[in-house]
Amino acid sequence: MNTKIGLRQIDQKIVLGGIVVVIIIVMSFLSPKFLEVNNFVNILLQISPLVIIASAANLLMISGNFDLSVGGVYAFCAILHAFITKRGVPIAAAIIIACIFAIIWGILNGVMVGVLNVNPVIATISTMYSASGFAYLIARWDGGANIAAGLPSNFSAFGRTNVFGVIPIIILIMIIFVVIFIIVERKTVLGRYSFAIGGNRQAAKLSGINIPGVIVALYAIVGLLAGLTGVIQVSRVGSAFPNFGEGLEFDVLIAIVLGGTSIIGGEGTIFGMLIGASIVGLVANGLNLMNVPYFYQTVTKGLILVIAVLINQLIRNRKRA
Amino acid sequence: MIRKENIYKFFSSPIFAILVIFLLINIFFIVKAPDSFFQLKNYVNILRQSATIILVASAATILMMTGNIDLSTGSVVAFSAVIYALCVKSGLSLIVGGAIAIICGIIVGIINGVLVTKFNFPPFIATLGTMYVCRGIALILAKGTTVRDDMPLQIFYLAEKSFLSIPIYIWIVIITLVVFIFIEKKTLLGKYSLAIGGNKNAAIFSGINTGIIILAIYIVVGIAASFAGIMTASRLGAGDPRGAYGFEFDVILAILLGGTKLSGGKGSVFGTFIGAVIVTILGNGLSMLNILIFWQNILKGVMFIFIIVLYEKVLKNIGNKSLISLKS
Amino acid sequence: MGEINSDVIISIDELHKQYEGVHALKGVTFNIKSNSIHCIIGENGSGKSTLIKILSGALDRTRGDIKFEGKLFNPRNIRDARNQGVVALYQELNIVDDLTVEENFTLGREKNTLGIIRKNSDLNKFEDIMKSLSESISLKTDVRDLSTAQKQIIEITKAISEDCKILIMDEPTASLSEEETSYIFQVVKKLKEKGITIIYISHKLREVFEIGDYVTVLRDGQMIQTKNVNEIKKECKGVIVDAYNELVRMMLGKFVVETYIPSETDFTQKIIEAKNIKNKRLKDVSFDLFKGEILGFYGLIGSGKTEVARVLYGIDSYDGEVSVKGRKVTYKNIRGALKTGIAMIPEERRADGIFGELALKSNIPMMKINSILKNGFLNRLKENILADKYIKKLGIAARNRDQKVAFLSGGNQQKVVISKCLNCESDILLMDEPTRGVDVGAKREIHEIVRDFVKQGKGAIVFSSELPEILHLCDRMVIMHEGKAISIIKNSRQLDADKITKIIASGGVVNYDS
Repeated sequence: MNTKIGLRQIDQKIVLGGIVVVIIIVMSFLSPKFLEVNNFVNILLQISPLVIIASAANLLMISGNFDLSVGGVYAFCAILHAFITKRGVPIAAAIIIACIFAIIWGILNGVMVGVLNVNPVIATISTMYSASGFAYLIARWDGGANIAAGLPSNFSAFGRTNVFGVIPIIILIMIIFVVIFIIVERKTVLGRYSFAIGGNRQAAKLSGINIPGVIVALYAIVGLLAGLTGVIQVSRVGSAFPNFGEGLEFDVLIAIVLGGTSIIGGEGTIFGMLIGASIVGLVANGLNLMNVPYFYQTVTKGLILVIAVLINQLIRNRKRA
Repeated sequence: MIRKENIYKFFSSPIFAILVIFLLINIFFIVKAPDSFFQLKNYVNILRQSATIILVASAATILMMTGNIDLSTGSVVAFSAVIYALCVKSGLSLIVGGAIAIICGIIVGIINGVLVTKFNFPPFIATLGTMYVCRGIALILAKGTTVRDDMPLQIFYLAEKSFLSIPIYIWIVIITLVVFIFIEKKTLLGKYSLAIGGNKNAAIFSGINTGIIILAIYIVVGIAASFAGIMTASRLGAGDPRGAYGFEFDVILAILLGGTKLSGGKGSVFGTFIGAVIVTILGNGLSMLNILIFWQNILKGVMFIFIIVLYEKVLKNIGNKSLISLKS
Repeated sequence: MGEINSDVIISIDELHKQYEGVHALKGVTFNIKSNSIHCIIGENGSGKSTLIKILSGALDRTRGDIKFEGKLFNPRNIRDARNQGVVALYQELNIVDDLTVEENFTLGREKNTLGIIRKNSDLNKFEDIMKSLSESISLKTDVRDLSTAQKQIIEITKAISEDCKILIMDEPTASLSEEETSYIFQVVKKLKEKGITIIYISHKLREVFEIGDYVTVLRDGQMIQTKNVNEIKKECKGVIVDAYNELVRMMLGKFVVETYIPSETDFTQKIIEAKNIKNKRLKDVSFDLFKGEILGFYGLIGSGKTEVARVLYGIDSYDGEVSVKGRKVTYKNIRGALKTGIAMIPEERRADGIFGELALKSNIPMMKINSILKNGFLNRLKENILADKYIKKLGIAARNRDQKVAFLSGGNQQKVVISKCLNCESDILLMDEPTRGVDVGAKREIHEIVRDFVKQGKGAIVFSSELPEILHLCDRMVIMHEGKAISIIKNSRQLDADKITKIIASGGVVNYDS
């Protein structure tokens, strides 16, 4: 956003950047393995799906909306991809088909929220239920609780590719999408309109902006990215579980909110989201290395969300005062 | 003239709609599975199964009337179940264990209420945060598994005993309904909740302390959820930190089905009761038909939307039309 | 020794209110007699609403005294004022639709035991009050089912039941029908019979003459005159138009009209032809806009000016026919209006016009985004050039083009909104109160901009409640009054401003026996 970066935004990013540094320092003391290159690559791998989806979800939140269905769409597409490739559909075609379904889920969200004016919480939760339900069903239709056996031999080729022999494809795709969304945010009509709608919806309406159209488009994109990421990951892992990506929407929410994007819309940047995602990833990685059971992460994430929103609220109040 | 108006009103009200839905669902399952479904035993079973959701949803109905929601209920149920199980397992009496569990529910309620009223958190974010924290703490306390081994048999007490030959769970349903319908219609808490959700400014101008009311209701929901957790632990004889996944959405679904609006204002505990039973029947009946639970999830997703569109867009217009034609 | 006037229930002395650099009340002084219906009138910016908010306890005063029944009156908040007997009723009704009449009456004051509501034996009190005011409304009715006028009765009843001595009514008849208005008048008269003092705010001047005992005219934060309504009628020898005219003149004040400069209008080519526009707020409006013309819509608040703009811009629906450039229009939304070549500058720039959190340069292209696109992307160079162009052309004062619009002054914010519209390169420009809250210098500049615009053979419609602006700028003016276009006048250097006020005065006067 070509707005002059206000004092407040600098404050918050410095604070967040500082937090990242502190976390890295603390973690490196707590675990010898933390500073290894391998580990950082691991962290990047961990947060790649999160960052890809959050790039789009960030813009969605800037427009004043959010999407709680990404985990469900992610799982659905992962399972669908596995299911149809198992039955002979060529990999490339399967990827496209899964992406089409992802877009359909997104459009469904967009229509409910943007056209029918349904509360985004309810609308996207219902999509989450439906998509997740279908994911489990498809797995059942395949005969088991998940799809692990019988996949074509080139199934994992896509997900496990290392571009230039070095960079895992998902990290490359993450970088590509981050760059894409930096451009979208600052240089496209869609980005500009998202800021307008989130900043002053009434003024956006009176300026002739097609608000339902923008909202449907944003949700469709978020859906697409959720599905695409699901496909890549399932290919990388080599088998599909219907509870894939459980809790993903929550991580996305935390990354975005931590990064300074306002819940009511109108402000936010991708860089903030990146820092937020890094914090989520670092904390998860660090706890893993310390062999802390995963459920401590659940508690930590909950606390991070509450604290992040609290900070945002307090900063906003200070600004208004 | 007045009577005619009331009749029109009833037919276009959500209560009527949900009674119709209830009837239709019953008919559907009776036709499809006549032997197993249409039995007193089955209906009693349904009532017992829906006891926890009726309890929490009734409290959450009053909350929704103020225009707020609580997404942490499922996690509080699991959290409280684990605590109760751990207490009983370590030899504490049922009453003491129960009290501790309920105190935890109160604490969660206070946290939710304070975040929403004092710090102006959007309710869905505040309760989403507590949802995760509670779920996490439940898992930590239970060390990742179900608390089951070496569990004294008295834990089953609540679920298995009867009083005056009516199962305690049915008593709980009855008491819940009596208490919450009473609160809704005859207490300040109920009336003020309606006022806050209906016209917050009017409530403030009338001297109502909206912050305290909302905080109080979050606490009540916390208590209800923790009690539901005790009931669940009783029934299973164990504390499952992974239990009640999606419970909060079943609760919201039941409330929406019952005609209470998401935006607050007029609500109906009785409607929620029917809604809760419907949600349970769908689970119960569909299982009887060997329909996978996943279809149920999909159905729930569809129902959310269907209800909102039906109640808020269609019924509102029908109701308005009939009244307009009656006004001279 | 000062004389204690037992007649006076409220005395306001040198009341000042200042906030955010705005001096809303500048030493207002007048008295309100006990048990009278005291009307307060004034246009936008007169200080009316500020005065009411201070009286009702919603705002603090900066300086000055208010005495209530001889004692200093300084309520801490609205509740405090209510407890002392001063109640204000606003247009946004403070009753809960989801409750019944009886539940609304007792809201906040229920008889209860530990929170359990007990049957209220006092309800008769409410029924009696309602009956004495108008018909009695059944206590068990859902408020949702009542008409607006009935809801007001409920609010009034509730206020009286709490022993109010002063009832402030803010635009009570704004959204009522003729019938309902008469109904409310009956109620107000009955309130007076009960000994209550009513402070009645309305922009419908005829109401002053229908039920007012006294009237206070406010203008620009100052008290212009407080007069006994009967005296005004006597002075004008019962000719109600003249009395009306008096009031309007007091409200608008003496102004220096800058000479009218005519535009080059081509009266043979119509760009807009509107016939019989009707909707909830407009009764029957017909007018034309010619090529090269600046058309004005003038009227007091509530006359329906803005509603006409909303119809043309596709916001509100209507019955009737509108043709633009010879073709009948079919659009039903804003995008349609823009496509047809109509752009609008809204009345409330902060709520509807600017994107405060975005930069100046990001606001300007918003209504025609492809003006800064290059190869499908937003082009920074183009955006900067465009911003500089308008900064120069309109004289926008800002630190630089990246400054957030929220930090600009009102006048400059308005210029940003105008730039936004000019950038659309539309054929028709609608401007709703284009220079409200704008300093004199910026006002002149904005007027020049409008003149420039129509020079290109386009048309502009200025909707304004500032008569000097209309007289200076517009080639013809449509006089609006209570939803009707009552007169269309051609402007000329010889036009007498008084004539206009007389037209408005005669537009809606009720016949009186003097």
